[in-house]
Amino acid sequence: MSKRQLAMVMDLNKCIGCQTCTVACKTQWTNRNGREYMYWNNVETHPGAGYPRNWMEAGGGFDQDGNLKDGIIPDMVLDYGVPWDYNHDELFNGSLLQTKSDLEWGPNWDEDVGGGEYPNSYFFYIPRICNHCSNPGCLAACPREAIFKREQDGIVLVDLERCQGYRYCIAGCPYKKIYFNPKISKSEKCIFCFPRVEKGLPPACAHQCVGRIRWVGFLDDEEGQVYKLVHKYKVALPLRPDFGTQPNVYYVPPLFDPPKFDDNMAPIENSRRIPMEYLELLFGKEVHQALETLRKEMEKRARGEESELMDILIAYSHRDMFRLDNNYYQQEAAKKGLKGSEFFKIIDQRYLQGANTQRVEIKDYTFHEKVLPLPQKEKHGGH
Amino acid sequence: MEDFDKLYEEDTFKEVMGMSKEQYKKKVEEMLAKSEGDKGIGHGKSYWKDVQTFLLFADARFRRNKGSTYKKAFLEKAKFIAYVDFRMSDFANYADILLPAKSHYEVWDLRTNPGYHRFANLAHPPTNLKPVGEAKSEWEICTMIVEKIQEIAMKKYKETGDKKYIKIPDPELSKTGYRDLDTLVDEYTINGQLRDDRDAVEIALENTDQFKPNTIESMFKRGGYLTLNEKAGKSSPLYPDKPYNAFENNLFLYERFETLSGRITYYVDDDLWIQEGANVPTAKEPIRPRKFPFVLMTPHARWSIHSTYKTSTLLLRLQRGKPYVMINPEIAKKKGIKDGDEIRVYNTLGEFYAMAKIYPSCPKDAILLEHGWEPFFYKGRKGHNEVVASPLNLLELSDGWGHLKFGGNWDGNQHAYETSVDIEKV
Repeated sequence: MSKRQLAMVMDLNKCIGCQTCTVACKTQWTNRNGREYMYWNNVETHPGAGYPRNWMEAGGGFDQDGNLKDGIIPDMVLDYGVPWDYNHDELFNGSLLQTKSDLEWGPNWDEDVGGGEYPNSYFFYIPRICNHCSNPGCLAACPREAIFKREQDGIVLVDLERCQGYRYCIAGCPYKKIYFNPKISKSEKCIFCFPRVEKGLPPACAHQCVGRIRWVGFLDDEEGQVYKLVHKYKVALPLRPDFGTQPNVYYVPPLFDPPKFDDNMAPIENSRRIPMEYLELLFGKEVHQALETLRKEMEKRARGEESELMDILIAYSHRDMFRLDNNYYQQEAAKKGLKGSEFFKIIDQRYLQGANTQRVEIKDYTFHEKVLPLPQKEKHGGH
Repeated sequence: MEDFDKLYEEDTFKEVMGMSKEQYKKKVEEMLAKSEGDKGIGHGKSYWKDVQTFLLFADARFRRNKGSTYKKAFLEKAKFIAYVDFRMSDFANYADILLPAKSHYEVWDLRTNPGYHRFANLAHPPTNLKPVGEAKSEWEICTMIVEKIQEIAMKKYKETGDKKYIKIPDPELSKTGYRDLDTLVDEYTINGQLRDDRDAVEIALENTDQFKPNTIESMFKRGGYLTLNEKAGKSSPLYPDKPYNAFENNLFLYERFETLSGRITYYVDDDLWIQEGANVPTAKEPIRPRKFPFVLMTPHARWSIHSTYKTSTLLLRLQRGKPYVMINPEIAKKKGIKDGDEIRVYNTLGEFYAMAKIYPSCPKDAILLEHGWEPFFYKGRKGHNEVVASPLNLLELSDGWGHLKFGGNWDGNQHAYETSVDIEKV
């Protein structure tokens, strides 16, 4: 366990699936150097296969006794989807715009599909980043001890110097949120935008969110909204807690979905389209209580009474939503007598050192044709 | 009209419109003749009747004006097309000359919409921006064109001494009745003050009452925006401490609305509208042919602004990478179509090909296709406009072109859910 833990809360009732977070993350971190296929942040439609395809069935995590479970490495073509490129240059000569590779799967392939039958179909969005778990499956799976959890804030990072690209971490992570970079033959993952966080800025995905659905803060900061949502009101729940990794990204489950229609297209009162079983699968039994609390607090507010919870969820101010605890990092740095940008030095040096491993010059972006061959899916039964 | 004839069934059309197709066509011609030129009952004009040379800015014409017959007619008429855009639209392929423009975020510009809020934002090129190819701002492009026109005109005039080269008659749009090409550049650039995009922003800030007092520097200081002053509120007063609420003037301060009655008007007192049973808002059955089972619905695209940014690799990777049609699962099963299959969408007018996406939220009598795909995304360059005829809504012709002339931006409305199609697995 780390000394402190940074956490994120996402309110699924407010996510409109606009993928601004995805694009913010992609353009900041993963549009180059062998990361093109990775989506450290993705938004997927539920119920659905998600990204990588069927990640919930791909194993990893821990069983009830705390033993690491077998997992598989998703297939580059069928599960992640090869990031396709286009012949833009040829358009000028009257050519059609076409992809240079086949279209098999992608990060948003089953967008808005969901479940049910017209007119009672339903779906909702789940944005996913690395959960920066308190008991990370990736860390437990790594035979090189190349994955570490920072003391200062619990951010889970890969020591790129130590990583040898064995990919056990991918099988071990039940969320499939750690990726293999075929260009440098190492694993890479969401870094919770730690260079931003250390300067007091929230991660790019949270900062850019147009729906203001994300809160960022330390879990032990009792004045913080993250603490209040997670611990005080208990309306923010981890995704698939049964995976046993103790995730630190929490979700306010979807309370709203339209009522079902009967045969005469009249709405059926008090009906829900999203099956509670599905929400239970995602968020555990606690989802009932969380939804109940949300409902009660909403009613309270509707009666004109005060509700701290509703005020938090309305998300009035970024300053309150992103509480990186009053320059916590800078204070830590000051204690050690570091000034200015030197405060970087208090943070684990391991990732930064890794960042200096030999850089890859990318000349063309059809990298997937030249990647190190990934093992066949069926041959991967864990370790 | 050709497409119209081909697509619509006589009996369905008659049932819905209360007139035969022949009668409809006659009516359209009658109305058009009435509004001919300035003598017409309205002040409408037949659309670009005598124009053969086009200088078009960012107008993906064949995507907006639908049907392949229109495309054919346009290309036959157009002798010369110069096209300005910051992206390679489908229409660019038909241009004789293509002028690359800078995109929104590479130029100086003021963005404002006083209808919704009271701010104007300053767009400006990022520091150290490297120009892409020969791209120029639209202002620069126009200045250069104007300079060239004057240069050629002056050369001809000097060679021949004939004033006809520098005095071009323009009785309709010029106050003097002439365009003076010898002073064209001075006139266009306000004696050299207004040559490019940055000049335009500066002049707008200096001369627009609603922007005062502001300069580029003062906008920069505030983070790139200005607050419109109290003169800007068109339909509401602007308070220093309250947000903008549209129509406060009319709803609470009892000013007249800009309608004939001065109120919000639901009743249109016009012969044609009364005749069509539309003098109050009235829902009508769609005119689409009944022999094809699915309405073609084209909702607004999610990953583009119409066709702009449609070719962005980043955004295309967040969808299916090419045009896809959403189909109800039950229908797909009946037709033997699986998710990801290529399907043909067709009716009597034409066909196009797309990927099938099985989508539970799709009704059984419709298929959904997000709009904005350019024809070059489709097999054989046959876009989804191949299956639509887009007849003008007759009501748009009342009192001549321009829908009763109620203010600003008239745009020819068509019919809702106007076409139907069938699908099959390829």
